Amino acid sequence: MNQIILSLFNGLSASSIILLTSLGLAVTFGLMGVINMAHGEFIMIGAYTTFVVHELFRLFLPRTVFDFYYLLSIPAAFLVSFLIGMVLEKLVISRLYGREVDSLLATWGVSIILQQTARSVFGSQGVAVTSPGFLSGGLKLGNIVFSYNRIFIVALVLLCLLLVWLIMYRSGFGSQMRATMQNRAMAQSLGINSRKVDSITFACGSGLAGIAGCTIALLGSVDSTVGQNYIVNSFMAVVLGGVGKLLGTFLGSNIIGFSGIFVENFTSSSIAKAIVLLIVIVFLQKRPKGLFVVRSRALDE
Amino acid sequence: MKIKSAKKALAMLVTGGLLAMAAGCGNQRIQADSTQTGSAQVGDMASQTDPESKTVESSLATEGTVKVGLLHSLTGSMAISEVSVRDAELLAIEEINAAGGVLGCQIVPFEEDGASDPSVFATKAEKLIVETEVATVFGCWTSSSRKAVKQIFEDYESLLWYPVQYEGMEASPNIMYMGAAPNQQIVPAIDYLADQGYTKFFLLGSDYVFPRTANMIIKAQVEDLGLTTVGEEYAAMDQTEFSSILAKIEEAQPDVIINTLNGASNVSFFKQLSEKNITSKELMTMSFSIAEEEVKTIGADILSGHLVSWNYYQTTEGDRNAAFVKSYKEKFGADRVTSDPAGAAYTAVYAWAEACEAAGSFDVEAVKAAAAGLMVAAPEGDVVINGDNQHLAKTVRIGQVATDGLIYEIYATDGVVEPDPYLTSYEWAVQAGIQPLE
Amino acid sequence: MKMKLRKYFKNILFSIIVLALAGLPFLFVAGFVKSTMIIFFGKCMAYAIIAIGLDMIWGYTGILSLGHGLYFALGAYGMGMYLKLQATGGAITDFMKVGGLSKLPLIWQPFLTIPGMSLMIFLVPGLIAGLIGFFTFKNRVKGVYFSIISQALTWAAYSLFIALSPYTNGNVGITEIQSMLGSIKGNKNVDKLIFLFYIGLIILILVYVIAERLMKTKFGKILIAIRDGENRTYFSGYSVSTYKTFVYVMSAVFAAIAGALFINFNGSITPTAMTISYSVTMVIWVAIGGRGTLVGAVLGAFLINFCEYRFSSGAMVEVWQYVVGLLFIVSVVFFKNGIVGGIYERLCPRNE
Repeated sequence: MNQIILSLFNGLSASSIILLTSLGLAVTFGLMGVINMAHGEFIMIGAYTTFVVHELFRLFLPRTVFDFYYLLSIPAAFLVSFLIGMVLEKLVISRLYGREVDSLLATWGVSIILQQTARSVFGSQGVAVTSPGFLSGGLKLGNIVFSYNRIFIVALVLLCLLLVWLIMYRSGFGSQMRATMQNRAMAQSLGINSRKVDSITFACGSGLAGIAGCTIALLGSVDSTVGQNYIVNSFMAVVLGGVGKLLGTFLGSNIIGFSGIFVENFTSSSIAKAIVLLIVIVFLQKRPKGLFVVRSRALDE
Repeated sequence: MKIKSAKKALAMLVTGGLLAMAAGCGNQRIQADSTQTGSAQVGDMASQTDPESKTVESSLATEGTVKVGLLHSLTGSMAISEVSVRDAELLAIEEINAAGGVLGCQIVPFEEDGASDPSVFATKAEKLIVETEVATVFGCWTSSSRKAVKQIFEDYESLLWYPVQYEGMEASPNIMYMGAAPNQQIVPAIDYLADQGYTKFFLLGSDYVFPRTANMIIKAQVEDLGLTTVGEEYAAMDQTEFSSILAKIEEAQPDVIINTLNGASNVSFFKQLSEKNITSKELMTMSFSIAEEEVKTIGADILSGHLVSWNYYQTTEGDRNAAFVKSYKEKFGADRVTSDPAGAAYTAVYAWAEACEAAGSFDVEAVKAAAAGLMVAAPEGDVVINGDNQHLAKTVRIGQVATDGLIYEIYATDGVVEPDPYLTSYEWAVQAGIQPLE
Repeated sequence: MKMKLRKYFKNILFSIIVLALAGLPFLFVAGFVKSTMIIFFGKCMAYAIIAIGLDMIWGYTGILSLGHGLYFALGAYGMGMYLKLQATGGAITDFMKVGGLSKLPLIWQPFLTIPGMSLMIFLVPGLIAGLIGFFTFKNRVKGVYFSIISQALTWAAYSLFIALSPYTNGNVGITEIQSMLGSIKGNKNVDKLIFLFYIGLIILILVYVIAERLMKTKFGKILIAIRDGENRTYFSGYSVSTYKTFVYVMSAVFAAIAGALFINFNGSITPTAMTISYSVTMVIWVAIGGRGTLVGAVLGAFLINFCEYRFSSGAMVEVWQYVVGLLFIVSVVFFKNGIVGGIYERLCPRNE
């Protein structure tokens, strides 16, 4: 029984991490059809921002307030990734609208540059980020320990999901975004500045990746290659869920997260990874556009 | 029109930049190779139609310099570990040059990037040996990169100094193994744990050759000691999610985890271990791939109390080490730390230099002959090069991580342990049939 | 005259490249270049072959496969296993013994002979590509979705090859093997090296000629039509998925041939060839060289690899990373036609 509860919790945690890393991607892919191969590097940027805030607190502020570095690093990571994302959009992505496949390649070039920049600035070795005091350890219920880190991450993801949903479906900007997504030409004729919508959306997507980086810093090492581990799962979650639907990404992440954890119970992690990927690929054969398809009359969506 | 001319300008800028770089690079190369033009072809196996070999000194070391190669991953996932090793090698080269060089020649290092890809290691190794014509190469970290270049060093009869502890089962005549063989790191560690009263072992490693071979050895040894292996798990190389593995560990209820995880996985594993309120008091771990660098990245408070097994720590006593650590910190920064692989790489350069001095030449065969039985004063203490298998006889030290981020020795063997990469001197290993066929 | 130039431009360029390559061994024998250059250019020829395959599916058909390294690796592993078994004389290899196997597993049995190995090199990648292509294209998965699937596939294969280490030697891969002609290193094997080099060159020429002839036929035109307007082609009655599957299988077989050639020069193969960045790097070659021109792919492969060979040493390593990233961005965003395409447009502009 304990095993099952623990597996469920682990699956929830794994899914929440995948969801956080793919939320930004889902938003940009859904809206602009741009697959950002440098998404992993925005996660890295968020993680390094956390490190910088961590160091600033450690060096310049008294020990008693040290733990609050983490609360500050979340908005900081969002902001830094937002700004860099905006710059990237203006310089590179905006020239690639309509050319989805080329955006894949161009952003791969960006990813190479960003990784090398991180190496040049912070060194090739990883950097240390210690968990804040209020997140160390875990909650003991019976025989099982639920780590505070992971509970926090699940809560953070739900919060982000809620915020994104609110913005997309309950705000003016969100209506503009959805309008542009469904029919760009029409939205433009109605006076929506689709280019501005694009930049802000892309920057928001990158900002979300930055927040994901914040959580990654708690769970593992922070180095220049940290982003590469998350991109395949994020892409799979986005493609599985279907373009443009938050619920789809949510479900996609959960499928990948839970199935990964459950398959790992029976076999080694390398094989589990391969199996999960193959399941997703087979599934995509049946539903090539993912779980939830935004139906439109256009032939070439 | 404006856009077109902007595009043109950009194109010319990029092309111009590339050409400038090529020219600059070419210049560098010309300066470095000027010692070579006009000198005879090296007597190495890849010389052209005229295989007449002139004396090696005149070509490898003309005009008072000798070329060595540094072959490490400077980009990619392995760069995290390998950069500190390269730094130690550069430090050693600088010190030797300051003291007058080797046989009166200044050492000129040529660095090549292996890019964390063994095929690139192979290409660059050939480039260093045949084109740059280095006298020797210091490099590699992962076993896959070493195995990819092993044949090349044997074919061209050059020499590689390999600074990392590894899984053994190898003794190439063209590789000098400066790191620990399994009987100098793994076997004594298991013996130590058994002496301390640990009976249930859980083996956790990344999925590649070092952990697999190490675990094979450990299982045989544990069985021979009459103890039990309660679990064996392999994580993917880049794995960051350890919740399932932690669940399996909790189920198996071991006394001690033998950890052969690699690189960044260590950071994730220990951080997630501490999430569960598990410290070294609840569950001890013995790691073979965690050195001072990793302690820095993981965090000393998480790792404190855990055990590691190496031959060298930054805290190892001795004047040689004190001098090494001081120079290392001076050159690279006070917050940098030295580790066993860095120490071994440093030793490798000095060992090569001393072997050349003893041999009176840079020729590979002469250097190897002089190296056999050579004693080198290393930061880890005095080590002796074993002429039969090209490994070092070293002291084994079990260390414990302290809260200040450094590792302190808690047990050491009485003297140096002779290297036995094939474990032929261990009854239980021979019986288990661990040795490879070739 | 311009018309003639336009018509034969790409072939002329390719012939120049071939002549330059053919002349290389002469330079070697005369002492101007070292043997490692021959070996290195041998590897580049293998890269050029897979680049041609990639150009066929991407430049001409518009299918971006970011996982072609998988087929390259399959071909290399196949040839590598054969060479390894030659070295052990058909007996079980050391890594299999370490992994607990007692006799040669069924999966490696066909690789004991040359015909068996050759058949498998064509068959296995071809079958896998055929299977994937058939289902994927029939279900009209295209564009970025296909690219992501191809990434996932090669990543899954990477994990599998590492996990099944008794069969594949995991992370270390197949190492310590000599080429099909025996050792090519060292002074006494110079003739074998040159012979192997020319074999590689002939294979490259063959692959190029096949691809080029194919692209000139109606088949090739339909591929271009699929790239530029898939729906129209579909409505015109052509079975788009069949064409796509066919060209995908063909490019997979080319990739396998490239892998088999590569390992003869490299002496080892590891699962690193199945990582995503390896596959994306191959696409970079085609993008910079010029997609849709075949010779552009060859040029890109040679150029980028040669620059990396020269520039990723010493202090230049960091700079080279920035240059590669920048080149990639610039070539994809601004110079869609790549080097060859750009030259082609300038020399023979369309409005004549």
